[in-house]
Amino acid sequence: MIILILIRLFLLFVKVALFNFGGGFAMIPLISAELEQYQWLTSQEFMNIIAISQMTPGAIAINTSTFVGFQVAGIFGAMVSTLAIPLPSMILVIVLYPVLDRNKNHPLVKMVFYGLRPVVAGLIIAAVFFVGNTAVITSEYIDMSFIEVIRNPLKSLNFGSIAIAIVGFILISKTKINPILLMVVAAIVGILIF
Amino acid sequence: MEDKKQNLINIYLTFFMIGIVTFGGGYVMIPFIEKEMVEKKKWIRQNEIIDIIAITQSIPGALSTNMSALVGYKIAKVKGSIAAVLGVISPSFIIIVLIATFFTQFQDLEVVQNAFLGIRSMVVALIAVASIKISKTAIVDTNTFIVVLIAVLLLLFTNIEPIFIIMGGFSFGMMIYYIFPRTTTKILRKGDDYIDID
Repeated sequence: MIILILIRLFLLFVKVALFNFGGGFAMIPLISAELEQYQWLTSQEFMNIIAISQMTPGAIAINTSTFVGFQVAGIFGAMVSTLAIPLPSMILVIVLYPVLDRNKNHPLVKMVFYGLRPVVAGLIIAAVFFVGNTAVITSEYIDMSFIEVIRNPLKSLNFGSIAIAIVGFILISKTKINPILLMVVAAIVGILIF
Repeated sequence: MEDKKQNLINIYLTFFMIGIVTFGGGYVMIPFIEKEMVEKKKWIRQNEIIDIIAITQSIPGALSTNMSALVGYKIAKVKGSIAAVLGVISPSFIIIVLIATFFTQFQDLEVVQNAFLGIRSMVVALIAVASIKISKTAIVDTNTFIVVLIAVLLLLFTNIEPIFIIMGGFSFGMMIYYIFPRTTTKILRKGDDYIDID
């Protein structure tokens, strides 16, 4: 019956990938409902998986699918689930990109990109704040309101993180330092100062 | 033949490295793509990055794998796409399987938490620099400046899903094209030196 479980896992994560637009968190309720239906994992186990998936490198969607697949059906479950996530978008890219590329000089296509580019810039600027929140605000204050955070800056703000971010920002914009090196140094500094 | 195989291995390994450092969302990939693929390997050009993100944000799936699929395709068609996606997911796969096998209490270790807090702080700086560069490409006139502003405010202060904001930008460009042909001509003439999605 392992084959049947593998097929179910594969279909589950293809579905998750298809409904996952901009950000891995949208998929959590989707997976959770499915896991309950088959009684593959408890919700506590699933929450642990999400926590680890957020901390480790790689897309949350990929990490979560690998982990869930592994817990449900071992190494083959992990493989099937991991491959299911990028598959739909890969097919879309392979089918749609050549069409787009052929029409790239059409004024309509150019105008669509004219409208899309500032939205992309907006998404990345907003991401600075979203990631910034999880780094700069201490864990006790992360769920509190903005006003609470402002009222107790000494307790709510993590000055070590702010220092790393500022030094990093200057180094990245003023030098040609390799970003991989910066991440390694940041991890070591994190272990030493926090 | 040997060369093509070599190229695919090169793509796989480059994306493998990027997969290792992709913490906290696909945008972190931008500085690494700039360093490895624009500066060193010259697989893509700097001003293509924003359109790659625009396309990959418009299709479903995780941003990091979508970006890999598209960049891989641009470098070496279907095989390149497969090599890039397999490369970017391999580190996650290996790390998660190791953790699931040996180390399910992983997230409770203090040293791990502190290392990741350090990394997240650096990620803020990396994305901040990327956002400035991307904004310079995107903001070409008053219209685009206003769209950036609206998008940021909506994302930060409402619960609107990003896909709807992307659809907004899409419709904005189309609307100008259909309703204001003269503005369209002006924008296209001005932008000819940089608008280039290939």
